Amino acid sequence: MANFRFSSVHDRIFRGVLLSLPLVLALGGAAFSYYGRADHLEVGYEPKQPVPFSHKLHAGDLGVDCRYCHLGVETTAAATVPATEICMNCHAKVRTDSPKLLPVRESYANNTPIQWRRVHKAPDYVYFDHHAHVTAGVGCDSCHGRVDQMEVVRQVKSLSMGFCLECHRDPEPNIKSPRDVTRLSPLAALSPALAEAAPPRAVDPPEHCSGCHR
Amino acid sequence: MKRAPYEFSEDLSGSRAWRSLGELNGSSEVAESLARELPASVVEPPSAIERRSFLKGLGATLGLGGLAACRRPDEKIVPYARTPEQYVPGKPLFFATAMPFDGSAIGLVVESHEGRPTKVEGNPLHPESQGAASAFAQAAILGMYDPERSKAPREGRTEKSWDETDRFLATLSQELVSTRGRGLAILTEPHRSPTLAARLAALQAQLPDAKIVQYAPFSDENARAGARLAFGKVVDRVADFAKARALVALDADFLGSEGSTVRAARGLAEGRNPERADKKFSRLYAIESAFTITGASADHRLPMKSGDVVRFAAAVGREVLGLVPGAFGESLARVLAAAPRLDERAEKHARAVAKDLVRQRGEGLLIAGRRQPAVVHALAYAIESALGNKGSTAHFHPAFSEAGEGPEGLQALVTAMNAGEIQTLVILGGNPVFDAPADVDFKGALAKVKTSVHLSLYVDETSSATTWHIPRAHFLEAWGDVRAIDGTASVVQPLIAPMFGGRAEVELVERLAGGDRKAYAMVKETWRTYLGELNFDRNFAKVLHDGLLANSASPAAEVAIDEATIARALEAALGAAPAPEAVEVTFAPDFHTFDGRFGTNGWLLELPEPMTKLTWANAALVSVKTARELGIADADVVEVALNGQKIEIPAIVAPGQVEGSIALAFGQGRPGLESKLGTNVGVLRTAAGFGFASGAVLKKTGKKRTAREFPRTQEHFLMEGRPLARRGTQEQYQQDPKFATNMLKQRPLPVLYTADLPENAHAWSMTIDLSACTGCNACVVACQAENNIPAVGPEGVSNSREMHWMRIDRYFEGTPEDPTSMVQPVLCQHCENAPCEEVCPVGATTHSPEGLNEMTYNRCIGTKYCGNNCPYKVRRYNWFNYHYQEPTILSMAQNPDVTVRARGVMEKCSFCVQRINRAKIDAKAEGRPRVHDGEVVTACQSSCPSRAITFGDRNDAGSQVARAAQGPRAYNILEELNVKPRVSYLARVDNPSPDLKEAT
Repeated sequence: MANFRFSSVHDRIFRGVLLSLPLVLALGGAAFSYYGRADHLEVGYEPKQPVPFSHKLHAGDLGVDCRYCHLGVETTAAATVPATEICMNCHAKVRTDSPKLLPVRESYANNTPIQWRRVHKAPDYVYFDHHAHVTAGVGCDSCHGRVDQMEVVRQVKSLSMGFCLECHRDPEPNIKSPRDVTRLSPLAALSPALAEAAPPRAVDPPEHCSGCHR
Repeated sequence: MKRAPYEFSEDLSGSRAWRSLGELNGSSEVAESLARELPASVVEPPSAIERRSFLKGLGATLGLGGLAACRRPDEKIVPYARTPEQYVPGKPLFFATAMPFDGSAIGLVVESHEGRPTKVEGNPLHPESQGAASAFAQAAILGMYDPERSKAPREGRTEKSWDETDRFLATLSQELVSTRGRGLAILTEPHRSPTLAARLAALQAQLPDAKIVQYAPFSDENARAGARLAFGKVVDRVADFAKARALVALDADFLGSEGSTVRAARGLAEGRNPERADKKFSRLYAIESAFTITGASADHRLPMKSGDVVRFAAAVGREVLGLVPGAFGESLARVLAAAPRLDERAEKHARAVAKDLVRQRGEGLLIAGRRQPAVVHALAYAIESALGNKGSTAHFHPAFSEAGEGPEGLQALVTAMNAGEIQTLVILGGNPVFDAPADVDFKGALAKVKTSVHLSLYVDETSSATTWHIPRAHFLEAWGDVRAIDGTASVVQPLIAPMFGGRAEVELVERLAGGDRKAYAMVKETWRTYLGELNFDRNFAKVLHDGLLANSASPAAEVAIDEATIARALEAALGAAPAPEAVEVTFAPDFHTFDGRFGTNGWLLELPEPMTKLTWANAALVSVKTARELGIADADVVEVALNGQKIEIPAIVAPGQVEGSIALAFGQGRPGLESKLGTNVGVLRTAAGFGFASGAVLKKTGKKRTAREFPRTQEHFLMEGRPLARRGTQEQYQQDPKFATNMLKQRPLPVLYTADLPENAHAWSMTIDLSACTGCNACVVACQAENNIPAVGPEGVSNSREMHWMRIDRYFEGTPEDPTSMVQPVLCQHCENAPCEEVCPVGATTHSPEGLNEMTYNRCIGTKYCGNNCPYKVRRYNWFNYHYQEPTILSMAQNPDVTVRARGVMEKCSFCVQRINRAKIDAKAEGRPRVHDGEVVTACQSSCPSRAITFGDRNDAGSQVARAAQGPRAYNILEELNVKPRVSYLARVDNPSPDLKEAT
């Protein structure tokens, strides 16, 4: 080993690696900063739920209002995932022997909660408030997309700070009449006469830090 | 070290104030501490982790962290299967309850998130609270979640199941019934629970030979004995502090540690509001041995040994007699006329006191301290009564119970135990093995009792000495009821099922009687007698909702002064005065642990004692003169000997402590606790010298406590001798209402940069009335509970790492031997031109359009530049992951609306931005563009017993805060820096007596 010498081939490889290092780093950095964004990492999250609940069927085809199940949305920060008893309001009579609903019936009978998997999540240091947004007239679809067309709920917006601020700086495109908030399909929007009766509110969303972080 | 280029007029107070003797004497250490942001020791980590192992750990964490971060964590949402009524996730519920404490009860409203109680507030309807809550009540949350609480019943050292315990109690009950209770004694803490009283009475009827004894190491026993002396019967006394215009505290710390402190502080502040329409302004004299916050609030404070106070009271009586010759009957008049003369200064005070009491006839109060003997209480009642204060400012109610609460009952019990008369002893609460008088060997006697049962929150000294221990349910966990000192009845409503199992006192009594009913059933049974059968459920629900039964205060008691008895007792007391040169020792409950019961509560232990600023420990307070003579310095360990017993305890050279008296705080140094920072002074406390004792010997030992063993916040966050806490007299205020602003001779320079804030937005701001603030520290604990502020431990405090967002600066003025004092709460001033914001390299601290100086934790990288640049020293840095080091159960106590901060970020007061945002969102949802005045109440504001803090929108001209901030007394601290703080202080106004002008 003592006689080992680096040949010129080694030198060339070494120089090549050294010279291409900045390029590799730059490309890697660019790729990370592009694909590492919430747009790419968060959007598309579509976990399998313990009950194959179809928003398309309930909210879309049957036309159940969002607030029938998510009843905290107009009064508290959390929209709230419904308690099993809300499912049972209908399913005590409807499809009582469906195998898909077995976990729901078990949950209700044993008083054990169903463990849903969270899809939409703001970081812990963000204090998002549904009630503030819904009463201001931000439609559900602005952040959650067309849930009424989803068989399985999927995250469609990045929900990053940039996403929030975009709307906070220019809220108008996302503001509906408060009574229109849960109407997701454009066809179902308010008739002009009704829109006049309940026009969208003037809103003044915060753009300072403590509006969301505290 | 640069000085402010401004001059302040020398003749006004404030500019000569000092916080510590070191600062007064220009010690080099204080000068050095001023020049640097944090003490040098702060750069050291708490325990020595070697650099290499740290790097190794770092590498491992990176590797693991890198892998774990590849996939989004799978988070669950777990809704109820069946939602409880009225419950919406994320929306807190509020329940009224009451905290039985120290011979009274304070009404509370407790905030509950998802079934977890998180924050205690006062109940505005309750007369003892009026919306405020004491530091002890606020910290009850932490006490309930305390992981050190006992979790299972024990027989000896073996844990038992509840079934086994119930079988044992059933057998015990059968035995007791068969012997009609012979050999049974029940020892309880003094209580005011109608249900417990009824159950004990029923048990007594069932077991007529059983003994029931009450004992507490601190109680109103002397006041009750005084009432027995003065009126021939025991009555409960309620003073109207708001109505009183001449108040005399005879060694009484009624604002700090004795009885209804919240009610007293509220009343006193009402009677001393300089802006009162009727211009009435009360005058408070404090005659006391140790400097207490009552003395700090007083217009005149006379340092006097506790043992001499009886002579002072007699001298006041004598002077009253001189002014109103027929004030007392013949017997008392004779004794008073012959009352011994005191030194000139005391006589002058006595004359001034008497003059004021006579001038303010019907509106005077003499409050005798708890440790003062019965005769002082009786004499105070007699003087009050002679001047027509009875029924006006001094109210008497029929006593809840006539039973004694002091050491005599315990002494008799111990004698019986030693004589073998007691085979079964049931102790409901309390900790008599620790807190019994030194000459009452309770522990020794306990060994002679065959079966002893202790119901207690902790396996404490008493539980370890009894044959059985049964976990007790905290008052936030169990049903109960309580009558406040004036008789107002409340139901104690639980917020949560017992965390670690546990029984209420009444449930144990019920088991002894052979029953097995739950506390709820028994409480309801009692309340059926109050509310009647008709509509009981609805009425009971109303009581639960309101937190009290309306108009349930007891009617006034008929009392008549028996002057002859008082005269005889007074004559005897005056004759038995101790030698003037004898050194006296006084005992008071410890500020942190009360009587030791809060010995594991980190919030209370870390709360700086208002006058000494000592945390986590207790000390012997010695006078400046004694210290000089014996060469004692702060933290020197001294030996205090009394009656052949001695203790070694660190000393504090306490300004204002009277010469010849040593103040000791009882409740620390419990042998059963891990912390050895405190000292048990109970060794010196005998039944005869329960309040104070004469004949002590003080010696220096040559040992010294290190800063880590004796953590004080005295010199932390100094603001360099500027006139920050300003005060003037009534006279000055009448002549120049803007005296506080005018203290600054040179006006601030014109500003080049103006804060660019929108004019139509809210402008959140706060005022703090120094005339009302007593320095009780309730706000500090309220802030800690609301904002998830960790306790950092004694070591942390000694390194100036305490995290309190709000601190209370205490200043002395005058000579070290006899200074006056005032307090000033300091929190983030939310400067419009905030110096901290200029220096943040990452924009983590910014300004909101509403004037909040906001702190964004997730942006902060921990440079600490902002803390360096803050002239008010209100920023706190998270040196460690304090919350992650805590037992997990304590995370249940945290407020979900506030971020739990991690290591490496700066934090500070946010003006309770979570409450502002909640109010704003609610207002917007209702379609209101603005928040109403009074809709946002900060945690400190709501807890303040004296309503010193006002918060609101300064742009709303009609708001309380706008009016207060434009009032003449308002000033800003460090105004000359032009930072435009949003917190204004209202200068303190005193009302000194014209007769004592030269004396002080």
